[in-house]
Amino acid sequence: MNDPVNLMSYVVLVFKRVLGFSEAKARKHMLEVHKKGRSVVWTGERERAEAYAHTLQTWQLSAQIERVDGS
Amino acid sequence: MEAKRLELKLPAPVVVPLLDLLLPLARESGDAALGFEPNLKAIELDFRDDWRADIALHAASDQERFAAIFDTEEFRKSGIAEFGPEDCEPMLRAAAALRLKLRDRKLGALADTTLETGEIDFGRLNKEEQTAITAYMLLASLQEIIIRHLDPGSAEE
Repeated sequence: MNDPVNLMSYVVLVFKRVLGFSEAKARKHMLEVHKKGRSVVWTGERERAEAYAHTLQTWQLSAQIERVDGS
Repeated sequence: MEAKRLELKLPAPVVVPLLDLLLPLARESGDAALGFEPNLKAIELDFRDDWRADIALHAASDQERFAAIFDTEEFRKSGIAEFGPEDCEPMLRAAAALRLKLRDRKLGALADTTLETGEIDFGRLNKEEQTAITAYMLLASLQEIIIRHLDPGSAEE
């Protein structure tokens, strides 16, 4: 979720370190968050989604988990 | 082989007065250490308290490390802070948490767009707000320095 505080370069670095994104993919998601207010950065099993959300929150990013329709 | 220590030189007359604001903020514990309210709606009710406490514990640990690096006689005297490579990530996270806290507690009068663009009219701020926004911008500069160090190949903004 977007916040006006965290630097774009910080968000890119966190996406790369936590989610293993390439520079291009990290920037794409960062810009999506910046413009649209949110970006889906990972989809998959709940346990791993929770681990990612927890780690992103320790980096002070407001990550949240949502159920995908039909799952 | 010993990992290389890093040295950061900041303008002491500008930065040292900000420690009176930043160090108490950085030494908060429990919920007060959180830079934001974690969204736990999708987490099972039984786990929410532990989850939240763990995020707060991480935040407090990062900020305590930040405080320890800057709360030294050497830094107050010369503006030089020394730290190891293992401190870079905790410092980045601590700076993020501190910026979020400053925004919530001291800079509420400023619009989010003003904070994002950095186009601040200092003359319209009171003394406390001037100190807070200076600390807020200093933390951003510190993050940019560390990010360039950790990720030199990263594209410029």
